[in-house]
Amino acid sequence: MGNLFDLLIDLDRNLFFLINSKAGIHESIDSLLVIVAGDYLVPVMLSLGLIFLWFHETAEYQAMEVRKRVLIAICSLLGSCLLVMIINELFFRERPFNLPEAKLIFYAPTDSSFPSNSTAAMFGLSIPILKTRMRVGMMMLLASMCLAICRVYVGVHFPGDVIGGVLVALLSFCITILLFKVIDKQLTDALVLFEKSKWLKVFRL
Amino acid sequence: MFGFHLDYFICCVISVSGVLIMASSYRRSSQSFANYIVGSGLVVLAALLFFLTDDRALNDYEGGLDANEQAVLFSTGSLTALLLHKGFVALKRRLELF
Repeated sequence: MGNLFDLLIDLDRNLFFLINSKAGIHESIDSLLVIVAGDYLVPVMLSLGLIFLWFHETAEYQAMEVRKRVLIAICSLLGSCLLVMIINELFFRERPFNLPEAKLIFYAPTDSSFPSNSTAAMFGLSIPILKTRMRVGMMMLLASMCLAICRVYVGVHFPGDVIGGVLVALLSFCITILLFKVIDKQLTDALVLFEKSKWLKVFRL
Repeated sequence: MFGFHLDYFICCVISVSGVLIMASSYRRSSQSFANYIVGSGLVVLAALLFFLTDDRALNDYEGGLDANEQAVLFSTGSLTALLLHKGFVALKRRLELF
């Protein structure tokens, strides 16, 4: 068991060096990937995608289904962040840029490397959209994957951290789906109220 | 431009306005291509404004935003954009009446 764990850690390190060794060669590529790996571009783009989904549908039944998925996505994101926070309290893994041969072209975060918080949050946001809007969901998932790979490239995560982040997101999605099944009727009523209420008209397009 | 927090807020307002223009165009039966261009242009403009005016790869204790600040600023920015959009549509309707 210990040997298998060591093997996985070695594999993780080798994979990290395979991706991270390309950093610092082309300045323009580095600048672009630092932006993608950052805390702003992908999270804001995915949030804009959710805003578009929330407002674009006119048919009442379809709008209701899409809006439920948007709410599930937001809760799945919050659940992912909560799970990452709990795991970080129990387990600490050094960041890869502390290894002597690693290259860091990003700022140096101080929290635990495993699991990747940003990957968990972005996958948590993207996975729920796949069911109702396959194409938009795939685009969001692709953007999340880009973020995950870029974070390895810039030297702040091991590949195992981002895989851990994806697993956390999947777990959070499953828990959120179960919770939303329990409150489905109340949620539908709340969304109908949102759509019909005169006082909430200001929040509708 | 004006400091990290304000820059982020302004860029959120601009990009959400772009998305709202695209969404409202999609809702109408006559989907205007011009509205899509304007909407997506605003999103790109916001991204360019944000990333080209300063170094944005900053830790939250070095002047960047932490997750909570981002969530609050994005939400207030979205709300501001929605109110601006509604105000603009109301003004446009008024002007069409005259």
